[in-house]
Amino acid sequence: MIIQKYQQPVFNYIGRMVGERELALDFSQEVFLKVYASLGSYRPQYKFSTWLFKIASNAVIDHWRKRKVPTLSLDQQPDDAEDHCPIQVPDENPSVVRQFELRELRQKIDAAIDKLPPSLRELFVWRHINGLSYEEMAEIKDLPLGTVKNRIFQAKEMLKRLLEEPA
Amino acid sequence: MSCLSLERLYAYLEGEISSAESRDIVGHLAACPICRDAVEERRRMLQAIETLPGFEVPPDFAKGVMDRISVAPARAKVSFVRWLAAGVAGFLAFVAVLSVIALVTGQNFFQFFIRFNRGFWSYVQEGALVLAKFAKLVFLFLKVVQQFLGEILEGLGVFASLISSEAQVIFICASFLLILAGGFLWRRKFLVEKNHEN
Repeated sequence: MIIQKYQQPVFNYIGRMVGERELALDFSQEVFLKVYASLGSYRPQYKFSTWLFKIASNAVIDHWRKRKVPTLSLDQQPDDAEDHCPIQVPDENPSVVRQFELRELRQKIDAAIDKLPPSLRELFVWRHINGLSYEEMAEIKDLPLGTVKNRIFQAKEMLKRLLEEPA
Repeated sequence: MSCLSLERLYAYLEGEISSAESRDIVGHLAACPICRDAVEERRRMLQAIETLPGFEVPPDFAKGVMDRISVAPARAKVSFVRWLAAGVAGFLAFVAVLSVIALVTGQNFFQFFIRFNRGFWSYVQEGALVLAKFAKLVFLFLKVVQQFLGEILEGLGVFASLISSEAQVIFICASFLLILAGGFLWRRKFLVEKNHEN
């Protein structure tokens, strides 16, 4: 079933893009409704996931336009962590200290991803969380391959700088 | 081998380079502690990112979507029925109002309709006359614009006959650039004002 196959990647993407869990859930449902309504316009020569993410990306852009919350300045402090989607850390590490360190690092990364500018965050999430290829992202966003690669590189280096900042 | 660029470093970490290139980099890393540190820092970061847990999708997510899909056509039907009911109710209300007016004025119901019909068509005629006058005004305005443009083009023709063909090309290019610059500045001003409003 299409929904069950793609619900996790779509929810991961939208969750990272809009920040709030409930909103992300509602949004993900809306995306699947749009996909259902537009199935007639899907052309099988293209990859389904590429088409699906294009719809999801347009929905996120529309949301930002309506809400007028396109960016968060890097000078600002992040919002309360309560508004963000909770992350679950698996108990796979034997050491309590190691587990704590890993959890802390993941939380830092989680907050740092939220601080990336949306145009970089979107591509970064697709690449490193959804595992999309550069070619797929270039097709979804109608951007040259070089631009996509460059933006993802910028995102990674920005993320590294954010992680180095004192908490 | 010189030190790694950051782009090449990421390409190495993500396995996007050839095995020969990869061997060169491994050789370089063994000898260069600066690049080794840079690679290790980014390797740790990428590993942590790639092991970030996903957001937990509620077990009833798919059911929620299917419920909304099944409700969508039903809503459309209800909406159509409501529109139909509203139309019928409106028509009946209109007839009821006319009947009350006819009863109050003591007129025959059909005579009232006859008078209403005449009144209605006289309004239509007056409206059509106003529209015709407006169309005539538009026609006159367009005629004035046509004459004005004609005069300008004739003036330009006389001007062009007085200067050389090279000067004509320069004049046309300069005018074109001026128009482009004007458009650009206007657009910029408009966008700045819009941003201020936001």
